[in-house]
Amino acid sequence: MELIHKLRKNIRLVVQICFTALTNGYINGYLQGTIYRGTGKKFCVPGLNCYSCPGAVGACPIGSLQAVLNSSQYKFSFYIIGFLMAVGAFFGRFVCGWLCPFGLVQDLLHKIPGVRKIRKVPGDRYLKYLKYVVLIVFVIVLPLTIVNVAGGGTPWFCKLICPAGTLLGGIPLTILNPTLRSGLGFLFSWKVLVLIIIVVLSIKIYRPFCRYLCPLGAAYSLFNPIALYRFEIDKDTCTGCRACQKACPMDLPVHETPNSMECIRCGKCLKSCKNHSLKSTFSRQNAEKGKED
Amino acid sequence: MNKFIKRNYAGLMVFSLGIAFIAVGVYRVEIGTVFMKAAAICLECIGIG
Amino acid sequence: MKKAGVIGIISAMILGALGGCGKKAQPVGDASEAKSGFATMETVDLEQNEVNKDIFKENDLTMINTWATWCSPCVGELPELEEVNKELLAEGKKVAVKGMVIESEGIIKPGLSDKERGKVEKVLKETGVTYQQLLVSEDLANTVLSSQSVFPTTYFVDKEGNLVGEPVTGSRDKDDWKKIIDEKLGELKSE
Repeated sequence: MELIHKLRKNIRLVVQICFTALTNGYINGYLQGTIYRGTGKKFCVPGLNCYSCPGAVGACPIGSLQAVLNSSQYKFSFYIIGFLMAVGAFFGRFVCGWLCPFGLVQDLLHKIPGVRKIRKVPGDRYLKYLKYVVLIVFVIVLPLTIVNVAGGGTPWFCKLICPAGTLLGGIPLTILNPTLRSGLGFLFSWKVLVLIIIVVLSIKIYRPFCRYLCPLGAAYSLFNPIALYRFEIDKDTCTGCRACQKACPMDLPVHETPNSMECIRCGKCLKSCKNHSLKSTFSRQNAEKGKED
Repeated sequence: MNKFIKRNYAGLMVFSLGIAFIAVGVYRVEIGTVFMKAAAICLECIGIG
Repeated sequence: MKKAGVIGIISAMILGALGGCGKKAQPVGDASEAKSGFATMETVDLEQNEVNKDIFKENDLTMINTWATWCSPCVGELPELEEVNKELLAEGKKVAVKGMVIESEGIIKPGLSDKERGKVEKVLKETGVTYQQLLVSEDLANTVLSSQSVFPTTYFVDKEGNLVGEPVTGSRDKDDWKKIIDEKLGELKSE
C-alpha cells in the first residue's frame, strides 16, 4: 500500500516514464545500433519522439509532417495535420505534460538541486511566441520552399534544431553504430551545442524548450482552450487567493485563464485549490454535474 | 449526454475534422511517405551530414 | 474506480514496454552472406540490361553508391560523384562509380514502378549523372541490403564483387570521396 500511495502521489511522473518506455521499447535497436523498421513506424506517437531513436516504435509527428511536405507529391499533409487536430482536440497540451519523452527529460533535469531556479523568466512575454515562428518557418515554410532537383526538401527543424533527435537519436546511434561515425561533422557539433544549451537552461528554468521553442507544443497549444481535457473555474466559489498561480511552475495566472496556451497540464494548480473551484473536465465533480441533466 | 456535447462542441468538431483529415491522408497514401522516412535513417534528420 | 483505472493503465504500459523487448529483430544477413552479396548478385540496371558480378571485372575497385530520390543528401552528392567518376577515368585509376537506386517505401524491395522510374530518370538528368545505375534484386534485398537502414550508404567491392572494408555512410564532397577511395585502394593492396 505504501508503494501504491507513492505511485498515486507521483502519478504524472509514473505515466511519463511508462509511456516513454512503451514508445521507445525496441530493445533490439539499442543492442544492434539500428532502428525499428516495422509497421509501427507508419503511425505517429503524440510526443516529440525522433523516429531515429534506436528504441522508437512509432513516427515523430513533427518529423513526419516535414517528410510529407518535403515530398514532391504533396503540399499539405492531411494525415499528420489530422493527427495533430484529433490529439490536440482531445488532449490539448496534456501530451506535453504527460506523454512527451523530451518533456520528461526536461522535468528530470529541473529536479537537479543545488542550482538557483528562475521562475519568472525575463522576456517570457515575447519569447513564448518564438515557438510559433519555429513551427511556421522551420517545419512548414522551409521544407516546402527549399527543394532540390528532384523536388525534395529537407527537414529543417530536425536538421538544425531538434534536441530530442540529437539526445535520443543521434547520440545513441553514434555511440552504438561505428559505421555512422565517419559522417560526423560541423552539423553534429552544432546540434550538440544546441542540446547542451537547452539542457543547461532546463536545469535553471522549468521546461524552456516547451515554452519557447517546441513546434509540437505550439501546435497543441492552439487546442488548449477547446480540448476535451481542460480546466474550469467555478467563478462563484473562487476567492482569488492565487494559490493556483503560486503552485504553477511557470507562474501562470490560472484563476484568470485556466486554459492558457502555455499550460502543459501538470496539474499542480488543481491540487492547490483549497475550495475546489478549479477542476479538470474529467474530474469526479464535473462528471457528477454532467449527470444532473 | 447532450450536455456533454454542448459543453464540448468546439472540441468535438475539431476532433471529428481531425479524424476526417486522417482518412483523407490515408487515401492519398501519405502513410507511405511517412513510413519511408521513419524506417530509414536519413542522416540529416539526426544531425549527421 | 479511478484508482483501478490508473493501475490498469500503468500495468498495460509496463507490459507494453516488456513486449517491446520481444519484437523480432530485422533479419540481419549473416556476415559471410553479406560479404559475398554483390559477388553472387543477379540484377538489372536502369536500361534493363542484365547485370552480375562481371561488371566489376574491369576495375580494381568499384564504388556502389546506394541512394533514393527522396533523400536530399543523396541527391545532393550525385553531381560530386559524377565528377569523381570522370576524374578517375581520366586518371586511369581503374576505379569506377556505380549507383544503386533504392526507391523502396521503407522496406527495400526489388525493381522500380513506372512512377518511381520517372522520378529517378528526372533526377539523373537534372544532376547530369551518366554512370551505370543498378536496380535492387530479390537476392540483393535479402543479403547485402537487408541490414541497410541508412541513406546514403556506399559499398566498395573488388574485382570479384567482394566487399572491401566497411561501407561508408552519409554523403561527402568530391575531395572527401577521393581520399576515401585512396584509403580503400590501400586496404585492397594489403588484403
